[in-house]
Amino acid sequence: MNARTGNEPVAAVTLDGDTAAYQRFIGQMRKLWAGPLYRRLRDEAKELGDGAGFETRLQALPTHQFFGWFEYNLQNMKYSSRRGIAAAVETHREKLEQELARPLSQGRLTENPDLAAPDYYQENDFHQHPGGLGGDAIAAVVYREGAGAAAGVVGKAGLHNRFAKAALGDRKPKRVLDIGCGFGRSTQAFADLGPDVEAVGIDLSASCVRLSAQIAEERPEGSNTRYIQADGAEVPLPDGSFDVVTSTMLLHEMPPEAIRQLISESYRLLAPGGVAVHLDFLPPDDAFLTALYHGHSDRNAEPFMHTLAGMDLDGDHRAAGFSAVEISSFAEDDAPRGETWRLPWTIIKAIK
Amino acid sequence: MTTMPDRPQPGFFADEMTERVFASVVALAAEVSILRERVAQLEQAQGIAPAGDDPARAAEDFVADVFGHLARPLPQM
Ligand SMILES: C[S@@+](CC[C@H](N)C(=O)[O-])C[C@H]1O[C@@H](n2cnc3c(N)ncnc32)[C@H](O)[C@@H]1O
Repeated sequence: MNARTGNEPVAAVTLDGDTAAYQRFIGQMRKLWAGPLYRRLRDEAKELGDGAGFETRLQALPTHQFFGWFEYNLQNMKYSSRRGIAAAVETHREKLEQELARPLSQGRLTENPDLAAPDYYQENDFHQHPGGLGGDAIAAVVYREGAGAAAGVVGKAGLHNRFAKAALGDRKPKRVLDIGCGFGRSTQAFADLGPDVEAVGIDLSASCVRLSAQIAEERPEGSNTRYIQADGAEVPLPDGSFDVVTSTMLLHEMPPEAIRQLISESYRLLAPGGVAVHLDFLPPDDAFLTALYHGHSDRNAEPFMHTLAGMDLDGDHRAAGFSAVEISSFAEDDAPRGETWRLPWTIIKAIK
Repeated sequence: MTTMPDRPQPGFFADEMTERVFASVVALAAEVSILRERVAQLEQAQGIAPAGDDPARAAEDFVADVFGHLARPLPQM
């Protein structure tokens, strides 16, 4: 265990007063965007009829122009402006690099400096994260701060625990693999399902697995987690070694071919009867919400949301050998539906 | 300034000038919001304003006052 002074979490970042005020402003602008502005757009869209050309008519609405401007620019400002998260984290670089490099318990972290990240991973700044998560040692801290800042749509407390419970119901797994673990909150949520669970998080990003391992190291509840730098499409672990293979918000960052490889890998890695379960975004059966889904893909630098929506995930799982594939919407909170913009959370579940 | 109206970015409005003017308005509002927080802190430190005002609440009111009308149709003349 690392010795810590006080209760400061590992690789903590303190925002200066002006940056915090700026991020608060953006957070409130996002609330206006996701609430009142969204509702105005929804109401105007109802007048457009559903026939051919709906998306073009929607985009022509001045309200849609504002909606799109807010969506793209607020995310861009949050991360990349002079008072953005990336600049704020940068001012802590030396301290962060030191903390991330602290020694870890045996087996907690396996890095792979020779891992060649796929092109799609290096070429995209997903969700407008400047420079993406590969490469820079402190990128994972930028991601963590960004996920919690300025009313982020994916920073909701409790989302990951809620998914882990919904994903498995009464099943009590022992060995869980979390692909694309980020800074470990999805891995930890599965580890928290019971004292016997051993959870392994893997990620292409060295920064992510390192931050995850450091966070796990300092908390008692992290003791049953370990982290490996690896590609979800080619996992360096033996056949049949997991009861559950899961991912959260990963599939929409991968092109279809890589997703199909990940599905085959999941099948190989699962023991018979094991569960593959992913939380991601798929457009609902509604022209307006589908248009906003594709708009989000364009405006938030998520190019593979488009292709994910076009995939036959049921067929791809069955082709890999899975049975009983189930695709269902997921309620990330208890808020009433339809009154605010939200990502269309979806659980994709299959049994080996 | 906190945003750069000259940086390359995708267009959202039907015309470029609206795009630029709106970017400037939002950047200005962000600066005002920051300065409002600074003033509130100074006033609290000097004892001329009640301590413990919630900055998130103040930012919310400010955003609603300045931009809230975008969510409502323009009243007819
Ligand atoms: C949006 S983040 C989600 C992180 C985490 N699951 C969570 O819910 O907070 C997606 C993560 O997947 C990782 N990733 C993307 N492609 C991957 C791949 N092919 N193999 C492993 N990890 C990948 C990224 O580095 C990133 O950390």
